[in-house]
Amino acid sequence: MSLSELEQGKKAVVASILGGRNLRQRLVNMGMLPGSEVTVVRSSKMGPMVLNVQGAQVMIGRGMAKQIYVKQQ
Amino acid sequence: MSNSNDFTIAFTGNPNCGKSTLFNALTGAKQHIGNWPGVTVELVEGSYQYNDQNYKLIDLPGIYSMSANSDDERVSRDYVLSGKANLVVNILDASNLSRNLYLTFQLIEMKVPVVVVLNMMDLAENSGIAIDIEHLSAHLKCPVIGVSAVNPADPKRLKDFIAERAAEQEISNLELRYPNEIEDLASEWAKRLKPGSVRPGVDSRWLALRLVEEDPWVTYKVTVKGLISEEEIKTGINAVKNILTESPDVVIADYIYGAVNGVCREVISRVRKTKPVSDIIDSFVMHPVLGVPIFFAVMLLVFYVTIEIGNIFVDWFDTAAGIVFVDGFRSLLTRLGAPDIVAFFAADGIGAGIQMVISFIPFVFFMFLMLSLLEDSGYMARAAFVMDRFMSMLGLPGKAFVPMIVGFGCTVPAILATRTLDNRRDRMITVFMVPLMSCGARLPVYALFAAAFFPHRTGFIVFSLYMVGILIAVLSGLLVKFTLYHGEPSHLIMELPRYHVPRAKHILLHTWSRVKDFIRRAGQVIVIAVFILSIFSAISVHGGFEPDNVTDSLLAAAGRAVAPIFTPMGVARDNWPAAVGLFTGIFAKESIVGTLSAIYSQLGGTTGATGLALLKDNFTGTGAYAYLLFVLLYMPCIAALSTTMKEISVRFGLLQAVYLTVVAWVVATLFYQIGEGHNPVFIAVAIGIIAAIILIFVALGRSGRKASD
Repeated sequence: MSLSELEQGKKAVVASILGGRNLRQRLVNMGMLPGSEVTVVRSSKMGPMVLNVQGAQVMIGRGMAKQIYVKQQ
Repeated sequence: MSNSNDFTIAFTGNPNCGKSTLFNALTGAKQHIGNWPGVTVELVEGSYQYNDQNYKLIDLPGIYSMSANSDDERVSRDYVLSGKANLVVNILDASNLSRNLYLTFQLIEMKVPVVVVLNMMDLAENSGIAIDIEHLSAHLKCPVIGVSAVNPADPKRLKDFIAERAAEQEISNLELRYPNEIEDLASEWAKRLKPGSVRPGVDSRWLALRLVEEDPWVTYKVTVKGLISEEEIKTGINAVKNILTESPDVVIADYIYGAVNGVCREVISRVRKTKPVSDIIDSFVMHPVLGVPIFFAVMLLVFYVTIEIGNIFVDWFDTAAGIVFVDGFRSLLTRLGAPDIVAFFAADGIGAGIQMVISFIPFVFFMFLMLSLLEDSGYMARAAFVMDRFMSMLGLPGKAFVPMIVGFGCTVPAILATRTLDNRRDRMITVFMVPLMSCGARLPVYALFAAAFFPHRTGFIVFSLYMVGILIAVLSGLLVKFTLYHGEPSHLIMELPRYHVPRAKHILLHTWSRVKDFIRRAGQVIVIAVFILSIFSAISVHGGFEPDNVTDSLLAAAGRAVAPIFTPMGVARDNWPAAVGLFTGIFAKESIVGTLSAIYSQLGGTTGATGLALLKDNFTGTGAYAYLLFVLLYMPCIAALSTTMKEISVRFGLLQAVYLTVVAWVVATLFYQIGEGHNPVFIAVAIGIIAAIILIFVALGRSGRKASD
């Protein structure tokens, strides 16, 4: 499933990142790489999401979240 | 100023690691703001003296990584690689070590002298974290110090630390090992990238690893110099990809995170667990429903302070500057026996220009003050979150809403406020829209006309103009988004900073250095422009110098010459003062009113009427509203234009000025012709121009994309 569909409070593991090198690098720089764990801290139907990644809160746009595939645990 | 014995120290670290605060603590007001060449990234330099030694400090932009995917990262990486810094000081947020250490490992890999400063030790302690500094230093094989802003002895400790390390300039010999496939390829390539072959002083292993990562800059440099061929690189990387079933850059990042987590496990001990206050505040300010009204309340405060409080000071600054630079210059020169013409140009040319720059200072000051409050407190990131869903329709980040709000007060600080946006594309779209947020200087023009022509609907008329401005801004934003900047989505990804109480010293220093920068940069252009316009208003068509004879001035002649252009929008053929008003409006929009009444009364209104009635002699109701539409939309004033030219580029400023003026004509003409003129030719021309604008932007977008390919 795509990260954007993950509900608030749920935890998942990043499976793959779609899109080009630039997008991938920006995510990787924030600690979102395949195999890493993310928790959705805040999410509504529209607008960005707040995630817990590597112990810090990271805000990510919905467009970007749609390009990240996750496996829910 | 600087000499070869000075030490150059570069500060680098993640956003929100408290880097600027430490920078301010060391340099105080001894700092200077500029731009990195070719990009809109702010370059902050400062200096201090310690034990008879000069230190030059460079504050690199806050970044998460040295991957060079944004201007901020490129600027930082280039600078670190340049070897200009004797010491690279990596500042880390001690309460968020695992996130911050990623950059540290990348820096160490660059084989430059790096030292680590753990900042905000007090915060880490408060949130129940204890860090073993010596142990961390042993792991990183580089010096580490812990400091906090609340400890008064820490600036001196930090200065001692830097003094010692800058003299040693030791390079950490920590080397991270990656999977064998990557190591083999990298070491083979590293042998062929001999020291200095790509860029003097840049480490070979670092270059080889970046090559494996498909870093565009390194790949370009290596292939263009013929060190390793493009095919060979591709074959090597594909072989690695096939074995690892993952892009090498992801694998490398994974190994760095592995090392970071390993170090963190060893050096951090959690004394106790606390629930951060941030989470509680966030549940209100980031609430899907509550967040919006809270945002607007904060914006109202920003607007109120910048414009309303600013306005109080504007009058003082304006009056004082007028007394000194205009009246003072004049009486001084007259007393010295200078000819009238010299006194006029010194006072009403240069003096008036300086006066204008000074009168903007309160707006600019309060604007930057409010912005740094928003940023420093941590609210800005939340504002971006709340507004993102609305602004993303325009392809803009949520933060872009802030300059728009400020634009209703004054366009100049609004353009400066776009500096908080992360990339150039977002800045350009926002700056393109900002002048359409009707600024405070345009209000007196609307108010006067509305009072004269629509005395019973003044409020509605003024409100409708603001709405038209917003509508055209949204349409213009969509136009540039779909043409000039098509297909470049802006990615919102940032760490949510913790809230903290704004630090007064830091904020004041931050604000003051930006005000100085505004005076220096935009100031020059404003003074020159005001000077040129003063020549046109004081030289008569007969060639003489007649500052009091407005009707015969070159400006009036220009007004007469262009007046026919305005007839389609309802300006009568003999109403040339209306055109002159638009010229002086370029100085400052509010001066339109003054110009009109001055010329109309000099011409001695046909009925001997004065004040508001004079306007009614020269416009019809529909024509007056069309004229107001033009005033709303046409090119921004000189101060705003100069600021845009300095902040973005001269070409962009000119394109915007022409675009806005043409759009103003089209909108005003359509309104007048549909409402009163009923001339199908003009309506057709206006619609034709709209089509032409769209085509031109599409063509500009195409050529821009070709140029960047």
